[in-house]
Amino acid sequence: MKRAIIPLVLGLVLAAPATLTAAPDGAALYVQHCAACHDRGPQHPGTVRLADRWPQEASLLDRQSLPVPFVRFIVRNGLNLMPPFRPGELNDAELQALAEYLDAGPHSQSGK
Amino acid sequence: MAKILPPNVSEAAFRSFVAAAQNVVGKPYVFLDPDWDLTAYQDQYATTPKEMHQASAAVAPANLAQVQGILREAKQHGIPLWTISTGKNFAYGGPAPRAAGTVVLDLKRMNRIIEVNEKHAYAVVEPGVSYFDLYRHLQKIGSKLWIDPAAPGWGGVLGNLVDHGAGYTPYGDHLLMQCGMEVVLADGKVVETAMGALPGSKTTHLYKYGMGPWADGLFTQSNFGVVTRIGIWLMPEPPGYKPYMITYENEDDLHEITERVRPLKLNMVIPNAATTVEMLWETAVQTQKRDYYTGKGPLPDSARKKIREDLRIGVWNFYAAAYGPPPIMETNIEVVRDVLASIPGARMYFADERVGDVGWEYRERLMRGVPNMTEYNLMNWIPNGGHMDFSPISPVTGEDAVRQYHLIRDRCNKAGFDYIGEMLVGWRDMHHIFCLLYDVSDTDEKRRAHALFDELISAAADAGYGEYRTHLDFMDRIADTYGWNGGAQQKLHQRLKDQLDPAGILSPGKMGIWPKGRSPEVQS
Repeated sequence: MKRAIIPLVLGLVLAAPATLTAAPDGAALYVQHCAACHDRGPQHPGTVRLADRWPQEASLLDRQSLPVPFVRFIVRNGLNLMPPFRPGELNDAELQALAEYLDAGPHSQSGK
Repeated sequence: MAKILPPNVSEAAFRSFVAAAQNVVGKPYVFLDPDWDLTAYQDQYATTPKEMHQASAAVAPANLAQVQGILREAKQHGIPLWTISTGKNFAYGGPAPRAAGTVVLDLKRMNRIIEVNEKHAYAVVEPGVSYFDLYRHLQKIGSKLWIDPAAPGWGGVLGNLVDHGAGYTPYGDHLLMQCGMEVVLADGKVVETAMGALPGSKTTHLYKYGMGPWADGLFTQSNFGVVTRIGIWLMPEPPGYKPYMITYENEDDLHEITERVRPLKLNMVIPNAATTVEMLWETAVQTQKRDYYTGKGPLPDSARKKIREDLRIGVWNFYAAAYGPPPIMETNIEVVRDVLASIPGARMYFADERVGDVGWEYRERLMRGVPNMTEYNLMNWIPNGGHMDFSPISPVTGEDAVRQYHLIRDRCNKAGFDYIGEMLVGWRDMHHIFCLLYDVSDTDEKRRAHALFDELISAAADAGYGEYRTHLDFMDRIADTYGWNGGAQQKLHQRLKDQLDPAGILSPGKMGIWPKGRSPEVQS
């Protein structure tokens, strides 16, 4: 029995590089997908729109509270002028990492 | 939303296709849930019910072999596919398919930048590469090459090009700058076009035409194949760049501006898109309508005057740039100043005079190939803003510019909408872009916007103007306006479609081209 387990464990270890990829980087995903619309300043259309409801936290970088489920829902369904993002461009694992990054805000700088 | 099936496909056949597609691309990349995965394949700004363009599924291959595999299964199961690349074609339908039930072939995962050739100044990219992606990559590797982005930087280099999009640097005619194409035909056969057809070719991305008919154009704005790779020429960073803006006080100045721009473009004194922007476009990218007017309907003249003073803009605002060694730039700008800034009331501005001006800053970036999303601020002009672009082509004459302006603006105002437009002069033509803004939460407003768009198509065609591109809902309508000689061109398209895609699996309805017997007219 022991002999059977060792090759199995070894197999899992050897297979790891092919099956595990680096965990998605929420900060980098924010820069890639969100920053152009949601960074600070009037040149960012998402920030301009959100200033209606959160004038002090119009940029997502400044939001005190962006719960993960809320971010996930908005990204997949869109809001106002923001179209939804497809799982083909931002998969569920990436979306989770992005949502966790935003949930951990505020952030002093885009991508930090 | 309820689950739907592709047209004329049984549930069993659909399920069989889904299983096969999962086998080809992996289960995580076949999307089926209409309340989660597939919501993002809708057109966010649709004026018609979203069900009209609802996908039954989406499939996202990661490479050429997987594209071939999906085409094979689609053909075998009789499943229609709608190809998208980055899927950001908003104003024209976004990632949604023309016909409900079509499966979206989402190429976003094919996002490799295969080559950047600094010496010969080109890049080779897959469909999923956005302008932001390519720009960041060039920055990262220290390249001295510029890209030419469409105004929304999240657009796709390949997707925008095959939809005949344009940009604002001297390389703004995107299809003209395309060189080399890999395309998968409906039967799975891969074709390298033009010089790329020569085994071991050393000039695939250096000479566009090869020998024999230039086939590349057939795969743009069409449904004859799936383009999986292109070469795109990139502009070497010039030794100097000097953008400028000229404001004009009077509505009637449009005639004279256009007359004077034509020779400057024909003689390449102005090398990039010479853009004449109406004041509300300038206004809407940096303010909101409620700041000046809270009533219904188009903005009144009194508010327009106040805006011009507040923002230091004209009724018309002309943008272009000089590129090259400083002595050449200064000479060209001197000519431009003499010709364009001598119209009474005109005022010419340079960068140091427009600091902090959002409208200036995003155009200044676009004209030097820096992608951004600022133009999406247009939709902040009204609450819940959505948009469709009506885009007729015009000769570069004052008479035509004024005629088109009134043709659109007068109907637009009568229908209760603001005219938000700009005119971009290319080599011999002028793209007139009318951004029709409406409240996506207002059913009546969407109905009126749709009716206005429909009216504009007829009015433009009657006056001899055709659109270069359009939204899903109007592809058939506009294709029909290109009906000379009994619709000879449409019939040619149909013959090509029937030959190249006899099973009719590729993007049914794209630009009014349908598989034989499957157009809405035939089915109704």
